[in-house]
Amino acid sequence: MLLERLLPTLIAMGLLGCASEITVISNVPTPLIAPMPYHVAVIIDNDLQGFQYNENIDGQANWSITVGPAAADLVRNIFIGLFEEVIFINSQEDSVDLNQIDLIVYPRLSRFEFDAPIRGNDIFAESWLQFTITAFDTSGNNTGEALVTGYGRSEIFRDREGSVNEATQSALRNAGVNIIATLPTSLKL
Amino acid sequence: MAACGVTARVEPFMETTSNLEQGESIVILGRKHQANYQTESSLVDCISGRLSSGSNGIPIFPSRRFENALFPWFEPSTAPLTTPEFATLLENDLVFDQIAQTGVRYIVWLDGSTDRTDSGGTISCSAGPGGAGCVGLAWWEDDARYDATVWDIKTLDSAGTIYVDYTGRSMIPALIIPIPLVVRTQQAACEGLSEQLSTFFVSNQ
Repeated sequence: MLLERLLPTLIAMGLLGCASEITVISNVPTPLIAPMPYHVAVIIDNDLQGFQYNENIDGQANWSITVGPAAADLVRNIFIGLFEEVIFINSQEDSVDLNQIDLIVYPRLSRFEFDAPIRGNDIFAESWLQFTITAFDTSGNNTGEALVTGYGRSEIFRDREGSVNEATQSALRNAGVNIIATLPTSLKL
Repeated sequence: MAACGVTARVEPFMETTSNLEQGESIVILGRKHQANYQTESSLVDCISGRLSSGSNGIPIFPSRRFENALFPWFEPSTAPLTTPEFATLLENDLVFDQIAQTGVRYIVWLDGSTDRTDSGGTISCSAGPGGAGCVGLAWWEDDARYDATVWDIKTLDSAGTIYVDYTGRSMIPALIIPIPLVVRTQQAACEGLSEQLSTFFVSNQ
């Protein structure tokens, strides 16, 4: 009798257990740095805003990790701090007063990887991501490209999804630090 | 059963007690730069909570708020590891002013982790028409090793270090029903460190 009552719940739990969906929460603040004296247009396109990573791991689950909104938020906050004046556009085709800007920057989330071990001595969930940041002059010529990575990890306690979320948040923060540290040199600003 | 419990070693080294004047607070931060471990946020939260509670509570500035207010200077890859490095960081006016705004007088750096050092035993469970049950014994040992180093922002000096090492053995004996006898080793380390730190700070507020 008890089994009959519990069976639908157990089946539902089993099915739900096969899918792990995460929407990464943004937590990268505007950096405490002196802005560089540039007027910059930053492209945040739909690919970045809607970036979602899907992976089916054998013996684990179908993971679906929505990173886009948090990554777009990171880009907004970091570039607001990095440059004196920043406007955000959706694509290179958006109308921009070219007399008002020195540079167009196009960041893309080009790679994302994660690991959430379920056995063994490894107790950390880890995330790794890479931004490809391209700069254009006001004539549309490519003036430089930078690859910036971020890595984060979080201890797995009870909630593996929560740990992957935290690891990815840390990876985004780390990418923010690396953008600040390396972008001016990489783009020869 | 007698083997279940905690053994502790605490080594405090503090030059003197430290006074917190009106408007001053301390912030507790975890070290996360090591490759093989990182200090757990749960320990930072536990110690912050214990120090700030009670009638003689010490004013604590929330660690995440501090890290956000000073981003990117207190991230795992950028945080100063020594007081001379910290002094160099404070030459940045933006950082100096922001720390002054927070009112933080002391930074307590927690470094260490709680690790599973040993485990063993087995529990077998079976179920049949007559009922279900388990037989056996499983055990594990956790080691919580931490040091807490206090930096005085006014004097740009290390005011002292506390070292704690707690080892806890937990077990689950099972005779039909498994009975978990879990020792919370990290919690014990939290209590030990909090107690030592609370004797170090004197709030004049």
